[in-house]
Amino acid sequence: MKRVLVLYSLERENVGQSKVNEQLHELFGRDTTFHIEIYSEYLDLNRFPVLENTVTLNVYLQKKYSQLKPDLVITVLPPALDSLEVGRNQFFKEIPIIAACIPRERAESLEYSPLHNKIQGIIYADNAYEIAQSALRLRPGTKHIAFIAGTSVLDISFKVPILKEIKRATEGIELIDLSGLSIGETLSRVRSLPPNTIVFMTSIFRDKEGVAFNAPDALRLVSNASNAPVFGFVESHVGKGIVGGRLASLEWQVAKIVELTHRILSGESPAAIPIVDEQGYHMVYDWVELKRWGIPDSRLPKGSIIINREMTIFDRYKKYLFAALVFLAAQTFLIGYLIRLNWRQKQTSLQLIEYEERYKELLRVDRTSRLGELTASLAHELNQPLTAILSTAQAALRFMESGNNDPALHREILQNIVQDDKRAADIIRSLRSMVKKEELIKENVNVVEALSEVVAITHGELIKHSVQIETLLDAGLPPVLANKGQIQQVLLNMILNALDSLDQIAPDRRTIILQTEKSDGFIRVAVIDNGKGIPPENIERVFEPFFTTKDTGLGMGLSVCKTIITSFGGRIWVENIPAGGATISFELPVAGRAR
Amino acid sequence: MPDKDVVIYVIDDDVSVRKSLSLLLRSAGYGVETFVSAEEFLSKAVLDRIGCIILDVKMRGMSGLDMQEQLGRSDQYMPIIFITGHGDIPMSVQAVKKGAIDFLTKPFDDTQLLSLIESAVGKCRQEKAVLDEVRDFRRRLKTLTPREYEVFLHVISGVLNKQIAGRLDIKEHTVKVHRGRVMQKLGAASIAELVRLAEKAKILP
Repeated sequence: MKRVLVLYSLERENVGQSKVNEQLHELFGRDTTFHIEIYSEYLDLNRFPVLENTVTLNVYLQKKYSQLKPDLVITVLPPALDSLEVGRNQFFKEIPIIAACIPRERAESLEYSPLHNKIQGIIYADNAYEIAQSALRLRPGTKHIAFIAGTSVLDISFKVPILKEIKRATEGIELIDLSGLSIGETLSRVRSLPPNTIVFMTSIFRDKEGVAFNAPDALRLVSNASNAPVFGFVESHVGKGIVGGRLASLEWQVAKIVELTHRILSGESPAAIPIVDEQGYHMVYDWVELKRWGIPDSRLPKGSIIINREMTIFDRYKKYLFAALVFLAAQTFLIGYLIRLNWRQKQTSLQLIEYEERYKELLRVDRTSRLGELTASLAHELNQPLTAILSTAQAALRFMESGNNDPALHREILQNIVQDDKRAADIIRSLRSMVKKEELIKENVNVVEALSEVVAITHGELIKHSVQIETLLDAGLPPVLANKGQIQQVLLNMILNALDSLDQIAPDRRTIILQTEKSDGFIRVAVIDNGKGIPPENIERVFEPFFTTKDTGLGMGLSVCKTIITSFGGRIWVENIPAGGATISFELPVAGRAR
Repeated sequence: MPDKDVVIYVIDDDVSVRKSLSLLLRSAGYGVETFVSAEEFLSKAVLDRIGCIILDVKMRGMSGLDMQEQLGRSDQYMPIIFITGHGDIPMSVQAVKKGAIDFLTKPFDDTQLLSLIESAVGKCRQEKAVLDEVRDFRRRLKTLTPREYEVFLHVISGVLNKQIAGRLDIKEHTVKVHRGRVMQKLGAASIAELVRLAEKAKILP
């Protein structure tokens, strides 16, 4: 385990120092060779210069660290180094020292230091010449140079070498030296600098009147007041009011400190190590200052970093804008898609309505055409009760004329008339219910009742064809959920088809059996004939639209039947009977039973 | 007013038609018997009275025409009036050709039906009388001796007494006696009546 004592010249809050401290902790923390323990002391010599030239500080530090003697001392900025030298303390003479962040002259004079055999320095802020020249390139036509620095030891230690370099770089241009003034004077002077001036400022830690500053704060005041661009020399001043340039990097300083620490802790003598020349720079510019002084980006050297770039609304919110645009586009697309979907749905439902209308019409046409076949026999069926009524009424007249007023007889007569009239009315009603325009309402349908009505209107037709009809109907069947008119249409089709298939059978053998039964939640209705049956090659096709073996008819009947029965969750099928004839059956679920 | 003994047979498979015709005919003073089918009629009806049949052309089972044919083949006679609801005119014409009185298309007027019935009953009465005469004649024929029957056959053939005597190798007088017995037994007043009765009885010499 090695102990490293870091002596910071300024107070803890100084931005540059904080950065150094932070990075040292990070880099030493990562170190696994020496397990370095860091002790930091903020000497605050700018605000308390009284300590700088006394031995008090050294005594204090010696006392403090006597038990935990550091293996290495690092000083940051010249004042801490100065105070160590002033103390000439035996304690510190034995400890190797790295003097970081010092100007070139100070580094070069270390060999005359009382601590010289144990010390090595790292030069800082050494490229003033380059910065000045580059500033001139950024402001072509510059006629005046203003130079600002404070009055503290630290101010002066950097002012001297830097001013020398500036003078060298700006030869022939008038220099306005504003260093060593009070802050008030400095500000008033920079407000009224002549045109085509550029300002160089190292630092003001203290002004002429002894007021101490945090250097970056002073820089900010000056820059704000100045009517000319201000240039500085260290990276930590970017963003505090300087335009920028190729500035000394604290990061590099720290890296070098760490490197020297390793070498010294490994046993190398500090005196044997040459002075570390500054090499670490960052090409950094402040976008706000560039804009303020109208310096175009194109004048900046290649590889410049621009900080503080105030992004336009677009730049700042580019991601959000892009996201919003994408979102809007997606939303628009979605809305469009939905509108289109809605439109198509409307079209589809219109089409559906149209199809439904056509379907209803087809059903109606099929039914009326089937009923049309019955016209003659229906006329007969109506004729029967009408004839009966006429004869009965005439009988009544005759009885009356003959003076027969037997009330029982007249009651019988009138009852007969009523019955016959009802019979005629029933036929008309059945007929009308089957011909009326389709309302596709689902209702509870009593299959036997529906079938009986169909039998009533086909009765005459069956007699006409000498067909014997037998019914095996179960009157107690539960209802099915369907449409009565449509079920009757199916039954009518089934019965008339059976009738047709009996054509070639001897009249005295023609029989149709109607059968209803319930099995396993279904009502089954079968129409059985003893006709010629269905040729096996057609048995699969009889439910196809337009399939017909008759000379007349559209061939829609059974196809319509299938459509109807399927729509109510049932099925319809045909079978040949081996003994001759065919059975056509359908089954529908009992109402209340979901399939 | 028709005779109470006159009976009208109504054969129709439609109950309304049966009931209404029954009432109408009763109101006109006829006796009525109704049958739901031709088969029932043929098996149950006893046609010993004057009357007529009102028959539906088309029925379940045996049709009216078939029944007409069967009835015609029997030795019974009963005139038939056909009623039709189907307007089966060709069928009805055929029926009339085969001896039906007429046919009526439903619905029909009572006077139409009743006048047809009246003429049918008249015809029935007439035919019945002829039939009775023939039946009586046949019964009488059976009382003739073989010799008398031989003489009868010659007489209706218009053979003279002398010739008959020659053919039968008997005396002319004997022929006369036989002839007188035949006339008496058969209840014929004259040769002409005898011939007519023989013709009716379909007895050919």
